[in-house]
Amino acid sequence: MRKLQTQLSVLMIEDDPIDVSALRRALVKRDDEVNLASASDGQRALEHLRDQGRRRECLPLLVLDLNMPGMGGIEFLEHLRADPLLRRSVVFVFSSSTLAADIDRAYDRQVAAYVVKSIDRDAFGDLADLIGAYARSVFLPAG
Amino acid sequence: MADRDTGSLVDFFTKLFDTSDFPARWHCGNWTSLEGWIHILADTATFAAYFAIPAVIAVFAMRRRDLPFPRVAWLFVAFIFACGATHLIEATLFWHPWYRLSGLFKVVTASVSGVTVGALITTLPRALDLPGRAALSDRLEGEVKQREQARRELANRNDDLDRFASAAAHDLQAPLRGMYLLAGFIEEDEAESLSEAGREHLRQLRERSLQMQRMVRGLLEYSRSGSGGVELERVCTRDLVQETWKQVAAPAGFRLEIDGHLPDLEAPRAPLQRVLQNLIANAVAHHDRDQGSIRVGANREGDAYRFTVEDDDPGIPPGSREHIFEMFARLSDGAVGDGMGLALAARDVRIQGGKIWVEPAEPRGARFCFLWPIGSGSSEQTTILG
Repeated sequence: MRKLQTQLSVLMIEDDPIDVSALRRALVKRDDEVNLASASDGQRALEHLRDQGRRRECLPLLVLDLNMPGMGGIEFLEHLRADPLLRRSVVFVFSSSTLAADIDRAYDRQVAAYVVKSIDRDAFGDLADLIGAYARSVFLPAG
Repeated sequence: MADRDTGSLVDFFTKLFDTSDFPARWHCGNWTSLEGWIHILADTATFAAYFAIPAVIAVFAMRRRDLPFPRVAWLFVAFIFACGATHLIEATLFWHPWYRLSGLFKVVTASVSGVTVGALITTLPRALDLPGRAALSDRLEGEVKQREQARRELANRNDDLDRFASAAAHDLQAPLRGMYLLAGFIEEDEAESLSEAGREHLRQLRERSLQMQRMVRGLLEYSRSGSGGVELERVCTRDLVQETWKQVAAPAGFRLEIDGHLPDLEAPRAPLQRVLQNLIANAVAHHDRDQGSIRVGANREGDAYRFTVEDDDPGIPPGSREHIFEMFARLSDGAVGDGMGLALAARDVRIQGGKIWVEPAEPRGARFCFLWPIGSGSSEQTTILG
C-alpha cells in the first residue's frame, strides 16, 4: 500500500526566472510542503527527469510553459509521453496563451490542467492553490 | 388584256387577295387526290416545323442574354418563319389561288434570306475568333488555379501573421508580466522600508504594466477577430445577451434591461457575441456612477437587425463620436480598459457587412447601435492587423 507523498516535488519548466520566483513565493505564502525545482526548457527538463529516474526518485509534478526558446512545451510533452519511465507524469500547463489550438494540443497529450497566466487574476496564487490541493489529496504515480 | 402582259405594282397590291385571275391548283392540270394531298400535307408539315424552329430560337435568344451575335439569331428567326409562311400559302393555293400574296411572301423570304447571308458572311471572321469550349475551359482552369494559388498564399500569410501575433503577444507580455511581478515582490519585501511615495510609485508601476499587458492582449484579440466563427448557426439573441451579461460580471448596482423581443437569427455566434460583449462591457466600464442600467434591444430593419445597447451615463460628447471606434481610443485619462473594445466591436460588425454608430440617448446616456445583416456569413476572412 502506498502512502500519500509527504512532500510534493514540483518541477517548473519555464524560461522566465521571474515566473519561477513568483510561483515559489506563492507556494511559500501557502505554507504547503512543496519542493520546487526548475528547468529553463524542455530539453533540460528531460535530462533532469531522466537523471532523477536513475536515482529512483518519484516523478515530480510538472508545471509546463508552452512558449520557450529551445524545446517548447508541446514537443516536451511528445518526448515525455513516449518515454516508458516518464509517461505517467502529471503535467499542469501554465501558459499565457489562450488559443484554443494550444489548449487542445495540450489536452491531447494528457495534461491534467491548463492554467492561464492571466493578468486579470492572481494566476500564480491559483496555481499554488492547485498544487497545494494535489499535495494534500492526490496520489501521484510512483514512476 | 395588253396590260396583263406586263402588269403594274399598283394592281399587284390592290388585288393581293384577289383570286379571280388564276384557277385553283386542283383545276390546273390533272391532279389525283394522292398527288395533290402529298403537296398539301408536306407543305403544311414544313410550315409547322418552320414555325416551331424560329420559336425555339427566339426563346433561346431572349433567355440567353450572353448569346454571341444575337442579330444573326433574330435573322434566322425571321427567314425560317418566312420560309414556313410561303409553304403554308403554297398549300392553300389548291383552293385559294392568291398567287400575288404567295409571290409577296416569296419576295419577303428571299430578301430576309439575302440579308441573313450578308450578316453571316460579315459575322464569320468574328465567329471564327470565338474561343472554343476547350480553350474556354483551359482558360477557366488556369484562372481557378491562379485563384487557388492566391487563396493558399493568403492562407499562409494569415497563418504567418497569426503566429507572429501570438509570438509578439507572448514576447511582449512576458517582460511586462516580469515587471509587474517584480514590482509586487518589492512591495511585499520592502513595504516597511519604503516611503509612502515609494509605495505609491510601485503601485502605479504595477498598474501601468497591467494596462500595457491589457493593450497587448487587446491587439492580439483584434488581430484575430476577423478569423473564426464564420459558420452560421441558429442564435437565440435573448440567451446570448443574458449569457454575455453574466460574463461581463457588472458590479451589483447595474441592471440589464431587455427591450421587447430579441430575435432568433442565423448568425456566426462568436463575432455577434464579441460585439455585444464589448458594447455591454464598455457601457458598464465607463459609467460615472456605481449603479446604472444597460438596455439592449433589437428591431428588424430591412435585411438587417438593428441592435441597440443603451446606457444612462453622461454620454459621449459630439466631437468624440467618430473617434470612439478607433483603436486605443479613450475619452478620459483615468478610463479603465484597453481602449480596444469598441474597435473590436466595430471590426466584427464591419466584417459582417454591417454598420456601427453611437447616438445620444434620452434623457442622458449613449445609445450604441449596430446593423447586423440577416444570414450574414463573413465574406472577408482575414487576420491582417488593421
